[in-house]
Amino acid sequence: MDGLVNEVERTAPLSHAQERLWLLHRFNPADTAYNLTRAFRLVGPLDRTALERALQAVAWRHAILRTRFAEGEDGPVQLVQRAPTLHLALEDGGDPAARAVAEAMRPFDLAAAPPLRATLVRTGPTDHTLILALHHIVSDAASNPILARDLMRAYQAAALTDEEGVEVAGLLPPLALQYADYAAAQRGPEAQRRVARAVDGALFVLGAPPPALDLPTDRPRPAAWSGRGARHAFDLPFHLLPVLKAAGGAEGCTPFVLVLAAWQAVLSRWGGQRHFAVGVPLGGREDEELEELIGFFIDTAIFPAAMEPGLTGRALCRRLRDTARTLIDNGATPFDQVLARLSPPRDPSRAPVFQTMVNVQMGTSATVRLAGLAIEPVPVAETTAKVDMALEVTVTQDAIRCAIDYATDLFDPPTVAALAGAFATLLAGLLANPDAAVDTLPLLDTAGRVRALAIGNDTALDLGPADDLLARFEAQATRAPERPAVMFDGAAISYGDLNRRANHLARRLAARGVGRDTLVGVRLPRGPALVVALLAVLKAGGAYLPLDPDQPAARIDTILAHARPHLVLEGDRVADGEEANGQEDDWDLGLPVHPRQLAYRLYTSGSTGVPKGVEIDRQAISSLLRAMGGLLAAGPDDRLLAVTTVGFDIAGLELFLPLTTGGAVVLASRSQALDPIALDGLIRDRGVTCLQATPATWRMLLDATDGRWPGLRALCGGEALRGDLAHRLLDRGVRLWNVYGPTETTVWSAAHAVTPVDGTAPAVAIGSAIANNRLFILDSQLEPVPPGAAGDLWIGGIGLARGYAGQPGVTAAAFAPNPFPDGAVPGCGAGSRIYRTGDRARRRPDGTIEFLGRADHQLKVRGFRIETAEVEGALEAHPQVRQAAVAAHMPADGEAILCAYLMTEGESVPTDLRAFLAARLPAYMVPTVYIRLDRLPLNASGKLDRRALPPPEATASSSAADTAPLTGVAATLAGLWTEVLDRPVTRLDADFFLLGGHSLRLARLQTRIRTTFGRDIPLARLFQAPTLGAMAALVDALGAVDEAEDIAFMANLLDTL
Amino acid sequence: MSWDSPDTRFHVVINGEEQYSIWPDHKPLPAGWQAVGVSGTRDECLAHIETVWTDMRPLSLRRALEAADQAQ
Repeated sequence: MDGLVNEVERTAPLSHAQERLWLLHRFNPADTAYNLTRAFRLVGPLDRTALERALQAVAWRHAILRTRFAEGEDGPVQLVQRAPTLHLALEDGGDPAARAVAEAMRPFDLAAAPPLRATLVRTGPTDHTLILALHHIVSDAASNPILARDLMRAYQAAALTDEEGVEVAGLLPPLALQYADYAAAQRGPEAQRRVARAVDGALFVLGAPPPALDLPTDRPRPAAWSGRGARHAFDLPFHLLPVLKAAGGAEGCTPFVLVLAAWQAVLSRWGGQRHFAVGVPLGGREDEELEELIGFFIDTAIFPAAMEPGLTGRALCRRLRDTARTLIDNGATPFDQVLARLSPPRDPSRAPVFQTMVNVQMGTSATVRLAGLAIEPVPVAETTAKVDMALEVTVTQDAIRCAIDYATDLFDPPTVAALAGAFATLLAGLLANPDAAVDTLPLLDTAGRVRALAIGNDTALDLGPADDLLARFEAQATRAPERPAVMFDGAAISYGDLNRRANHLARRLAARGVGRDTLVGVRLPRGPALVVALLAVLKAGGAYLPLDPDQPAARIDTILAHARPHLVLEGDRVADGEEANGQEDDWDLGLPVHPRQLAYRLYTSGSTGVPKGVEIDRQAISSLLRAMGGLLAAGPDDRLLAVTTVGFDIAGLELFLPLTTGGAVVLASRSQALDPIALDGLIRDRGVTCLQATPATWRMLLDATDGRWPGLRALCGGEALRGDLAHRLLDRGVRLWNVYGPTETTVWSAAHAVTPVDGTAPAVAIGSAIANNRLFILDSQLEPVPPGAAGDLWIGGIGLARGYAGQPGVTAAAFAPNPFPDGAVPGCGAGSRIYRTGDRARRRPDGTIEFLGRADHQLKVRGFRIETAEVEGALEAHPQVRQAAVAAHMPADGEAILCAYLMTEGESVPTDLRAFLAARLPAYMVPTVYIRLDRLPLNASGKLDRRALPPPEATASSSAADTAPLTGVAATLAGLWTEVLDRPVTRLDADFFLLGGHSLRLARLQTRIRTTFGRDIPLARLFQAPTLGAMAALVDALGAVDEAEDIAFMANLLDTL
Repeated sequence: MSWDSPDTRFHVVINGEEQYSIWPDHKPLPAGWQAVGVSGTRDECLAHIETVWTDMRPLSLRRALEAADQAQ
């Protein structure tokens, strides 16, 4: 039937609910999330003609099934056509279920024709499958029984009459009211006023706009929502059915309220988020007349989740019951109008306002019945998702059927299955114990709990006296004394020499009273003497306190004042003290070693503003070296390039791993460690086989070089490893491990062998526990969370620090009794402790652990951990700073920079602030960007709102107009700065470091200057010319020197001719 | 009654190495730990530990060092 014949008999506005679907469809016409597709198997003699006529009769009766949707001058309109266009498409053979899915995935063109299709798949003379596909804009769940009933009646009538006898239109009685009447009525002034009141009511219930639900995902969230989905179906245990009905009745709560409560609770616990919103479709047929109509009558109500600590299941259910009553009493509340009033920030990656839904239906859904046919519904596989995760529950006489529809871009089936299990367990707990706090309800059954604790934690590695790190080093020195132990500055020191020198110094230390648990400061530049000193302290039985001489003196003084070491090795005395008193001084001291004696104490940034001294014992570092040596298969042929300052605990691994396995330490000097070209040279010239570095250092190396490092064993740790960096490293031919661990658990506690698959994830997994470590992901009750859920990461094992020196209270708070002792793993038995890392983590479906971020205000910048309080305290010590906040920002290049936000006495940032801080804090703790604010942003409870601190790009000076345009070298150089700093640079007085530059970025800039200008300017010179003008002059001057030399050369040449 | 809740009450507990810690009073004490008889808020317990845990070396190490001293 063409359009001319089938003229429009009526136009009407869209209902509010339709308008929203129309807009969604217009935004993404290919999206099929709002297709309603059902299939029925019809067994028996089928009258196909009667069926087609019956379908048309239904469309005659329900004008909405003859309606298409076009854009009018004042917005969308529905155009009701005079006659149905529906035809029953007949197909012979094929897989009916697959055909149904194909229909479900076929988009409708709402403007071209009424959005419904009927297909009949014939698989035998008396075996057919009817597939009905409708767009949601013309139907809803409550329409199904109406459609089924009318179809049955019309089929009966059509089968009894012949085709010519009765007009199709006459098979069913006409309706008094059509959907278009309902839609038009919504636009009347009275209806508009009522709707406005209802919207006010919904907004009042909602309170503040809800934050997006941020469940931890298995894959990164795509920038744009695709609508791809799948369904996980499960049944709740049968015994819950009477409980669910009875529990609700007592409190006036429907099963819907109980299900919603359990769903809010499980999502809150799963992602650790207390506030979000849940969408709930509410049937909107408010008048009796509308109950006869097929059409889209759904309003989506928004139920805010506010899961305060201590909230009981009973209180939650009562609250949701009252909310439901209020929302229903408000009457039809168009979601699109609520949305318009909320106007949430546009985020094309997720559904607005709510990212999860709950729908509870009582009773089975209607099935088609046709005379003479046995009919059963054919399940249609779900391939779309409207939100991240939606729960559908159907409570029937004999079962509670559940389904979770989820976005397959985000979640994998095991995660959804685990969440479904947690929902069922939590709901059962809530019904059994309604007065328990929701936070205490179990998410795991007994077997699941045992599994969650055990997974990845079978890490036992027995250790004996021979595994002590000194015993192993001395064994290597005895076995192969002539082999190189330390390579530095072009020279090599053999194991024999190193051991002799260390023995000499150890004897002198012992003579000065150094013994077990005695603290000895080591304040030496990078070089062989440093290695001698560390070994000597250990040999004397003492513990070393590393003090990087490049730190500000004030910081070292603070540490020395707290640590009060027995003595400090510094200056030339160590290197000079090699003279032996006699040959017996060469020999190993052979002192007894207790596994719990102290090996080192290392100061980290402290949250109270004072550094914390972490104390690590001998068995902890010895176990780490055994574990990592096994992981890397380290041996005598290995050469490990050591680049990390001894002020960072991971340096211990770089020095002692080769020395305990017979390999050599290739020790980079301080300037080499900062210079990627020099490091690359060391890797190649020295035959380096292992290198451990932070992500920032690896990036610097990758940016400055382009050769491959085939077979190099690369450890990356100290900060989260991003997928793109992993990808770049693997491309260079390295074998890569992502390693993870806080100082308090001895260097590393987890490791993950990185594969190319990891390179596609935003953050690479941290893997699982290394030998003699156990990792636990726990909730606020110290109970394990299900795999996939987010929790606090706690670590147990032999690597645990003794504690924080002189801070028993802080130690007791951070190191808790281990509630999951296992005597099989050293350091994990009864009476052992677990350390709270402050990191959030989850277990992936493959069992590896993923780092999700910090639970507190600790930051990581270039691998160093920083407590904001310590930097803020130093800032506020400046006389002109009234209040300060510190935050890290992650620019596009993936390297966090530290930003200081200041309220100052004057109108600007004090000019001496950087220098003021540099004298007090280590370089990595000195913020790179300083932003003056009139007020620091506060949240509702009056606390600093760190998330509201503006990113540095947003506050970048744009007052370029008052300066002259850049020319020549300065203009080219500004381009390089812009690339490196990832922000526009337009002024000659721009300061590289104030714009977010740091030494690694300067190294990157040096590389670009080399390739662009052909000038090799030492880093130190660039450091001294931090403004664009000064640096341009420096580049220019070096150029001028070259030219002058060229001219002089030419002049000499001319003279000789 | 979570680990971080200000309302949670804790016991001061000690293990065989005479290391101190705290444990919520509503949860069963993990194996190898004993309550010392002091309970209260988290801060009260930590303040108590601050005064009594004066030697943070594990007991086994202290004993070994004392034995070595006596042997000399």
